[in-house]
Amino acid sequence: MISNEMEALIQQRQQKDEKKKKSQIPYAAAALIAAAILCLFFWKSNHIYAVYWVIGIGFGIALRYSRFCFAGAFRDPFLLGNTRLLRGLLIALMISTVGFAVIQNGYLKNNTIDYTNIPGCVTSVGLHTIIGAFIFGIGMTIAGGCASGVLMRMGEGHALPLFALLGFLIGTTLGAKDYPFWYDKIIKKASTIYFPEYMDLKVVVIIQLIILMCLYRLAVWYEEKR
Amino acid sequence: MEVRDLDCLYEACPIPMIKAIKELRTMNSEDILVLHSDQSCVGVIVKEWGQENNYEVKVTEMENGEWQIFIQKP
Amino acid sequence: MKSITECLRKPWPYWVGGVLLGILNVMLLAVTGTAWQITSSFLLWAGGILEKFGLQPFKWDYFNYIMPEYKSIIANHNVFINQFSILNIGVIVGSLIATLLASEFKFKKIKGIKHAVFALIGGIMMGYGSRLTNGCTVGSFFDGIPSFSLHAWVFWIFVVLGAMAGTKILMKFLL
Repeated sequence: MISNEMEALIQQRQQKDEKKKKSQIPYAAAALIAAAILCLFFWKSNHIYAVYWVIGIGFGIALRYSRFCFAGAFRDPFLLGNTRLLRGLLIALMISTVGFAVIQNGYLKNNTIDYTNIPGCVTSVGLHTIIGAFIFGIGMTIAGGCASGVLMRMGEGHALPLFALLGFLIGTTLGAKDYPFWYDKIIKKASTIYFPEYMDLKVVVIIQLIILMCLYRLAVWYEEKR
Repeated sequence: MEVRDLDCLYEACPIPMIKAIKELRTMNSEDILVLHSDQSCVGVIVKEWGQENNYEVKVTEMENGEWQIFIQKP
Repeated sequence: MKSITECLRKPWPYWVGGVLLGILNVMLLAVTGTAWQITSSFLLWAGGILEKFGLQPFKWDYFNYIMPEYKSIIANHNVFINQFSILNIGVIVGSLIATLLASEFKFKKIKGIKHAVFALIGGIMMGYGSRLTNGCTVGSFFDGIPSFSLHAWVFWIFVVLGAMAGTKILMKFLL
């Protein structure tokens, strides 16, 4: 229950500070129409581009409306004791696990295992993963968000993510340039561990879902404990 | 009952939340902190933090894309 | 009328976001055969810009090791307009539309040089790290876990450790 003093303060502030908030829905409509026109244009030039466009927009809307943030999912549990974003992420991972499994199952029926061609992202694991992820983690926190967060905030009108974007352009270039060094020292000796190579895909799916659900329970317990 | 304003406009997540929590620690019971932020996630996160820690929180949008988040220490 | 605008302003609960992202991610892979990636496009843009300055980044060894999709994009000179760029611009436009529907759009400037520098350095670190892990949180982790690859779990552990370290740095310099 909000106290009377707070209520009074809020009212006072609203009278003083609340500028005329203009509805931006007409702009939203204009943007939607422009997006639809571009969609038709993409469809004409290359059907599949229209699919990428629509799904990209879908990602943007979902990220923004649910205030989703990968950086927050990783950071908030220990910073604020809040596991909301982590739980959202776990749900997304559970759904993706099932969906990707169906797709990979279809692929594996007709193809031998070739890591670069398996639908999804199957890549080597090793010291390079550890170093890369750690550097990424630091960068993501000091920049205020990861790559998806940068795109989302650009859509909100923030200027700061533009600097992060510039950083991305520089960083990915430097990373690509340095890649042969990492490859020779670490990556070429690293193995790829693709679980369905060791167990039946269905078993892998079940185990992974159980693990994700346990993590979810853990996240709920952790937040309630604080 | 003291009212303090904390201007965190143009500062990226998670700075506004951290600053707000730090500031609240120095305040007395029944004091109100007004956090100014333009990050869409801050309101949601502070509201949840408030629920967990027994602080009353009210999020108001003063102009398009700028929020004032009222937090009262219990 | 007012209730519609109120409805459009309400944030969605986290699980709705999670469900949507999961479904969209699966749909993308199912229909196009491509997993969601963000930083791939940034590298291509950077390369395209360097090409304009006379350099030849696409001849670097990196592009021989990674991703068959890159090869066809580079061969067709599509480095600025390709499936990855369209996905990224789509995310920005989607976020823009959602922000406008909620009437929360505002041009927001930068508070100070320090913040801009941190964002820049953060971006550089993320860009570099993402080359080592073959993708960012989206391309390597979010797609890697459902792809049943161990690397994504290792990524998860160490990105959290990195976030902890990053938070200490943040508190020291930007608070």
